[in-house]
Amino acid sequence: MSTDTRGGAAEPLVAVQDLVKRFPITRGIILQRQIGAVHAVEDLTLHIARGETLGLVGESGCGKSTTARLMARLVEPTAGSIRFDGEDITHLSGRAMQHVRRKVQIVFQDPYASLNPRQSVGQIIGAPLRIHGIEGDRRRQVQDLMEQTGLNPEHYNRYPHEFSGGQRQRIGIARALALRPSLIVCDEPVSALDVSIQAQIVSLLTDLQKEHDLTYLFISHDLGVVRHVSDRVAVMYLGRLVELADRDALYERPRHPYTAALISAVPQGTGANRRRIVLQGDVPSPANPPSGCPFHPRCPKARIISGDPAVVPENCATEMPSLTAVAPGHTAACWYPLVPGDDLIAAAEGMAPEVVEQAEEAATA
Amino acid sequence: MTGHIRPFPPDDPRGGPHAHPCTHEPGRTALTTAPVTGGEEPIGIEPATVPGVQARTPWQLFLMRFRRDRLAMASLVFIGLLVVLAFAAPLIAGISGHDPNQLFRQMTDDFGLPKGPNGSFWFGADASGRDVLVRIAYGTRVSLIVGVVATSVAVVIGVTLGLIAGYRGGILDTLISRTADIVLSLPLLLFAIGIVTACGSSREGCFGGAVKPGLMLVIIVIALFSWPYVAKIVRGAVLSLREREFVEASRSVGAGDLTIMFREILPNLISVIIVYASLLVPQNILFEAYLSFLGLGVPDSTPSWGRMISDASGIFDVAWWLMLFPGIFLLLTVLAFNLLGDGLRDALDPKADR
Ligand SMILES: Nc1ncnc2c1ncn2[C@@H]1O[C@H](COP(=O)(O)OP(=O)(O)OP(=O)(O)O)[C@@H](O)[C@H]1O
Ligand code: SF4
Ligand SMILES: [Mg+2]
Repeated sequence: MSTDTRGGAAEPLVAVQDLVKRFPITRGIILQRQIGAVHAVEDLTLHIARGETLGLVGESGCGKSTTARLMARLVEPTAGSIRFDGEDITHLSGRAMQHVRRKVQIVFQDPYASLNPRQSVGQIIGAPLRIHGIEGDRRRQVQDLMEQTGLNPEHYNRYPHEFSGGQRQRIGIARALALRPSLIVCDEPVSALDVSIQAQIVSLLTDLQKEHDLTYLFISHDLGVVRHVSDRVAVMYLGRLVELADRDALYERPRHPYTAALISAVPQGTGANRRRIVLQGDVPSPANPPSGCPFHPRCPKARIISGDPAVVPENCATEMPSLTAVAPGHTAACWYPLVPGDDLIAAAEGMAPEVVEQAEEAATA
Repeated sequence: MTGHIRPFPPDDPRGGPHAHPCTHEPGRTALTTAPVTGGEEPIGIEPATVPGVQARTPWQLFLMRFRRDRLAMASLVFIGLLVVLAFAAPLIAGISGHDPNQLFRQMTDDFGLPKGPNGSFWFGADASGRDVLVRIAYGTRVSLIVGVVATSVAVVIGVTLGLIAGYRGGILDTLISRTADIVLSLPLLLFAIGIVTACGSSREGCFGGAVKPGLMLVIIVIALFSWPYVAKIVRGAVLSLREREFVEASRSVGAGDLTIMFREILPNLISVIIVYASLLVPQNILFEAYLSFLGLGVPDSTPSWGRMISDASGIFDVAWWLMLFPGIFLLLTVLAFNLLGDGLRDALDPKADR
């Protein structure tokens, strides 16, 4: 669906290379010593083609919002690079950055926190136009945006608290749309909304995409919504990308054990093959990630390979697998990608919680 | 987007009609059927406004709550009357025919003691034979001017410094916060006495004549000592406001630091500032009274409540009116501003526990 006007090999709109974001953990009041770091995003490499929707899924705390903020240049990367439309924007500032801001916008998760309670809708949606000195009748432009996002233009002078959650999210979308961006990062745009309203916001986003040739990075922990909107889907675990593939390939033939577990956790009614892979243990702390493959303390596939619930293969425990192609357009970061016949459910059931705990302790000691 | 928009189809390999956890939610089917644009959300789920009730702006809500607060309304009326009294002071002097600094021989007896209230001197006279009522009316001017102007200056300084300290953090924050701490830890009355005596003892003033004695000096001293309260409150509020998502949203559309500080954060501080300022006014009125009581405030020719109370202190056992009337005015004024401040706080932030 993307129309590449430049011709030749389609250059991606966004190309992220080895992006790292660590938040320092400090102690002490006057002399702040750094005693560690939260590894929020580690070695993230991906690209987003023009006009596509890249879904990004993962559990809470795996670094999705940090990725969104990095893309929108709201936090400074610790390392790595972000190219947008062929231009390196990793460390841009000042006027050059203002130019990029017009092209990259973000829709936030919380429609309550992301709107200033003391500003009217007109002020909120008009702010980007004002800041960038866009010519024209501002009131008309704002009301036009309100109409496009399904808001009543007569509510121009109302305040956010007078709107429902869904309508507030429409205000957030109208604001993101005001500068006619090419990329919109949607950080869990529907997670805070009622289920019935989620559907309306999702279809608003898809309609706007068609109308304005938008590219989306669509972040969610809801695999169903991501499946609905995405062309390709990326899966994150503990700050790292573990699998990236076309939507159908990812949902139907996941190759990374973690992806398979996530997908199996989506309730699916009464089909024959619908037992869950129940992972033992919790997601380890991103301040102290495990050695080797970050998933190894909980990984059922590693136990299938070793044949012993208490043992993982040497390379899983010590070496970080990199994202490698397992099929055309399908990459996974795993030493032993899933093959048909792997019984992860049984392997996971065979793992006692103590085993996982011990493995975690060993890996992070 | 993908070509076929058939969300969670029944033939989904993930399984039958229960393809999605939300299949049974009544609204879920809306994914394929809901009108996308121009649609109000279905009523009954999340109505935008309560039907039949006019949407209220924050300002209207505030007015509604404030009007219900009897004490605060009474205080507001009292303060309004004080303002009228301050403006009408020359009028009262004209009607009674008593100038505030005019000495009336007939109002002191042979021992030099003043005479009490009578038909022409309603509040009696002071030891020099001046009309207490007229002087109280003029004193209202001093109290209100000092209270309001000194507070305004303190608020402007305090808000600006508090915003910078809270928003920028780092070395600027350290500098501003420590300065505020130092000012707050100074023995304020002693220090004020020092400045006022140094600058107020001679007509030339101090700092090469830059600071002259009088009302202006009193205002400057009081403002100098009250901005740190404002700065600290504002800084604390900014620290939490700047982490709010709408600040990040504003940055994402390209807003700079100044825009964020003054357009995004400042409007959220208005209620804090109003409440705090209304509580600072009575404090500063009292402060002026202390200074005047000590003979360090405005010059004797300008009537001031503090000065009048001070003058009364030697003879109040025989001339009770000298102490009583200015005392009552001072008490009621301070009380009214405090009650008004409390009322404003309740009306602006009904959730705040007290
Ligand atoms: N400003 C920050 N300072 C310190 N740590 C942070 C900061 N922002 C995020 N983190 C940490 O980085 C990690 C990733 O956070 P992030 O918000 O990106 O996760 P997420 O996937 O968006 O989670 P959620 O689903 O809860 O939104 C978390 O451990 C979080 O505590
Ligand atoms: S690399 Fe090893 S531990 Fe990591 S996911 Fe693959 S099999 Fe599991
Ligand atoms: Mg998040």
